[in-house]
Amino acid sequence: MNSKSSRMHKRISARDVRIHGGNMLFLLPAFLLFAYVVLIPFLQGIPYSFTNWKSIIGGVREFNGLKNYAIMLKNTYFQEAFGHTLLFTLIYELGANLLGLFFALLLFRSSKFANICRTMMFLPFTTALTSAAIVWSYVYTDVYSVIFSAMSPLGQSDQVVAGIAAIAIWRDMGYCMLIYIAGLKAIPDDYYEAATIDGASVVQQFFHITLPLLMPAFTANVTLLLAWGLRCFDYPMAVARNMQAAQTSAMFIYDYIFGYSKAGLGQAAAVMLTIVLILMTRVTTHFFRKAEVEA
Amino acid sequence: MKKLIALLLALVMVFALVACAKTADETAEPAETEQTTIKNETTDTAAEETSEGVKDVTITVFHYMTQTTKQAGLDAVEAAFAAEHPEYNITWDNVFYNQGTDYFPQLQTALASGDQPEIMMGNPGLYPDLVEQGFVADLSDNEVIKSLNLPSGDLGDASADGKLYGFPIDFKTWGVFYNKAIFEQLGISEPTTYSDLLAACQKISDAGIDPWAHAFGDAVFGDIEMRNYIWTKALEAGDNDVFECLMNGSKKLTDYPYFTDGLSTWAERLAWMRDDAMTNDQNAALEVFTSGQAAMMYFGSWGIGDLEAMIEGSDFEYGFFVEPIDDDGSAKLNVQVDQCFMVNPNAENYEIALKFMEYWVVEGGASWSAVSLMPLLNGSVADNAPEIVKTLASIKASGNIAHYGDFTKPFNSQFTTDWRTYLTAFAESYANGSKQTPEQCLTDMQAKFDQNIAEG
Amino acid sequence: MMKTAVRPAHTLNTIHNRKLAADIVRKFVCVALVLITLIPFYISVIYSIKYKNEITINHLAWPQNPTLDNYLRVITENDQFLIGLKNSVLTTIPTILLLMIVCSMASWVLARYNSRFYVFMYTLLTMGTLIPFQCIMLPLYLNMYNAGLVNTNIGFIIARSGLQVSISILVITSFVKTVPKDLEEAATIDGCNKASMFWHVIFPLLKPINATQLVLNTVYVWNDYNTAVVLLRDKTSRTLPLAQIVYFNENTAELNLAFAFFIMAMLPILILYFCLQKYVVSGVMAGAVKG
Repeated sequence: MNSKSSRMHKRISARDVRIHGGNMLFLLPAFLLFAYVVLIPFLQGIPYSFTNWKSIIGGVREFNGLKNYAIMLKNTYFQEAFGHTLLFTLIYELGANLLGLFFALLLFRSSKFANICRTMMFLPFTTALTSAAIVWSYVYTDVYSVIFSAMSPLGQSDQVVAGIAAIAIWRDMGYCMLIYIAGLKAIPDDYYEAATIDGASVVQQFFHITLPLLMPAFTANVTLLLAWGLRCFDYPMAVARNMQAAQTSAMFIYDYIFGYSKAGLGQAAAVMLTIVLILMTRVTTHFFRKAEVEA
Repeated sequence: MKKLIALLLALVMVFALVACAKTADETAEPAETEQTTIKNETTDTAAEETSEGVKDVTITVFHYMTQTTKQAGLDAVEAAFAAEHPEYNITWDNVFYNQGTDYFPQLQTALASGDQPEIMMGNPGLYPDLVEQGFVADLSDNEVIKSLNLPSGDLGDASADGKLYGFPIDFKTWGVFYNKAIFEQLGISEPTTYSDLLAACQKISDAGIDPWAHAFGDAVFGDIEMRNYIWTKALEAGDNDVFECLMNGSKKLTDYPYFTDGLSTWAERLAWMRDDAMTNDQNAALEVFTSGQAAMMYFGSWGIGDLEAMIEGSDFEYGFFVEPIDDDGSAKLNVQVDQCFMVNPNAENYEIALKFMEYWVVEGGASWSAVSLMPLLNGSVADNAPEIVKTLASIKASGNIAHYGDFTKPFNSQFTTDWRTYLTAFAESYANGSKQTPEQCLTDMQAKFDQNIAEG
Repeated sequence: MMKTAVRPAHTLNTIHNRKLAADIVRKFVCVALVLITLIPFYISVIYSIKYKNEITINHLAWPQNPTLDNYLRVITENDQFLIGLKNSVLTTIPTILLLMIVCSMASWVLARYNSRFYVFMYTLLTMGTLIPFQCIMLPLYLNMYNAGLVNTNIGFIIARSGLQVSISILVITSFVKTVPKDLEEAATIDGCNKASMFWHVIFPLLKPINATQLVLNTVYVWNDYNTAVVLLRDKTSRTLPLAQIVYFNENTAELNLAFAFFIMAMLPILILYFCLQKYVVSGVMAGAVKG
């Protein structure tokens, strides 16, 4: 990191101990919760991925090395499921962020009218994922099909991922909007005042002040939606369970561990998926952090 | 903000107090004999001898009957059993999940942690792990079941690897439900050959009515449209091991002519599809059917209750026929055991659970059928059941049926999922006009089967 | 939206008119978009006030005999509804309050220090958002079962809090980074210790994000199905989302009841959101930044 921290490694003073000790206490409660609920169970699951474990209710568990990983890597259906997941995430990210930013720009100045609109736009986010999906299956058949005289995307292999992504966008754009509004509010008005005095146009102000200073909000939204998108499970489970084209990685894992009695293989798939997700998010975060620093 | 936090905390306390007060009320009340409602945490422990010699027991039933009528039916049987056995003070712990998503995962999770539910719903053939791991009692020598003299198919659906592991209760079946008014108006009678059926479709279509309401949004609907053909033809050909061979890889789908033929005949029917065919679930398709927008619906007996509720008060009349699969009259009513229950020998109150199930398949059947309106395996059915259920029960009793239980093994969950997924994809190709050939569909399906087998 | 600069007096009128026109267009666009967004709710309401046997060709039309019967039936016939409501309130509120304190504390430290250890902790903690729940479901259940936490409110609170830690820290940390350090530095000079600095200086500054998080965490916890279905098997411990299983099964759905349930389950979150609205995106933050 920076020179200060590298020095810290060499010589630890009493002051450092006090500061970092205090910090530990601040971190501890959150870490304990996280460790008990997420980290430890995840680590416990890893050894199973190296065994021929079949049913989770018992039976032999023999070590079989990396065989599960080799099998899952070659499994084209797993690859396809990952492809669907990626496509879903891409559409979802673009849609929810662009719409969220658009609404935020329209509504970030507080007024009665804006407040009501914000509340309404946020309404979808209060729904449960499964409920949202089921309601939308009716939106598609009762509204979409009637207006556009087209078949519901949920019944068509080439559109089902987009159809599900639309549900997710509808639900989460209000969330993105809120984060962007909070971000916009954090930009001091005098930046704009100064820019206006300098003769910068509204468009210039947007690209040179608003966007760069919104970087933290972008980072928050993009990384969070990435995580939600890549773990997509509830929507297709509720409305597209029988569509091969809507099978996501998380559904695949769930089925293998709990449905098909192929727990070892399912765990291997889960570990691989998690690694890929971590790598992808690291790259994305790195990119956005860099942009933040530059801005 | 601080006010709000205070308010939230106050809310918690109020709710907690209300909850405590309620619990206190319950404990204060004298213990009633019928404890079918909420069970009390403190009296949870089972098998305690009380002063009067009445034994307190808790029977846990894992099931996937989410329909309220069936839950009420279960309650009715439990109450009837409890009334017959005053020596037990039974707390029934009925745990239910949605079968398609949560049932088996939750049951397995419970078992993995050491929970031992007394009774578990399911056809043992579909849950081989439960059998292999010893969570299911072998009922091959059970005198009560033997005394029922059930046909091989009914026993087969309650068996795995030739041994009986379940108590079969009732059955389900499927076929074509049709709108009587439309049929009469167009002068169509119930078709007995496949050509008749296609001609009827054409006639209905020419009259400006959609022949079919489809519900391919639910995975099972592609499956039931094909079963009629596959089960009947396979049993006719003596291929009782067809599903077993497909699962162990010793045979391919194309080794059996009826898969290709079945898909071809189905494709002919799929020439008439509405725009909503792929996304309709059962309810949506039923609405299309009962509103007269479509003349027929390929549909299962499990939804008769929903259908009846929908047409309550209207003059809608429907009829039922077994779908003809060819012009030689070889069609047969398909039958599969619907409710089936396994008993766990490791459970604390195994003996009582066993008695309960023995009661259910004999005397308790009437209580069950009266509330759930399900047709029992021996062909008897409650008086208040719809006419159609009585008809189905009588066909079943006649024995001229194709029974899933006569196959050596059913498809396991993964093969079932794949089978349904590729059938849905086949149907979809007729909805969007790309029209898969039967061979293409079978090639795709076989590739997935091969993958399943290779993974072991 | 951007601040308009002061212009010469003779153009003020036209500018004013143009601004007015722009404002009307903006409002019109907003209203249109809001209405589109609300279509799914309209459908839910229609289905929820319709009798099951009222079959209409046009699903969007207002039913001929609107009824509240479905709502009543959910409350009276579904014996899990009131129990679920109670349990949901008793688990959601402690969870969101716990998260607010715990995650603000952690996020503040993580945002303010960037030596290798803190970066590692941040990465580790936020990595939780990436682990599919399906692959920790079984070990988590077994651990909690052995600890006697299954089927209890406290167990569900712990599990839900643990699952939310990652997202909360992710969001709050990025917020803390936008808060200048001046106030903290001033407090340090004043001889403030860490705990009182957090409680008196930092925590108030985090009010906007904590209000937001309160609403968001409520949404996650209140609507949670996947965790609840694993951890809460006992009927007395089940939360509200589990009460809707009865409306959906393999082949059939009690749609009208399901929609009535859906709307009722959403109401408490809406009420909370309405209460917190002014905090959620309030101007408090801008003031603190400037100050």
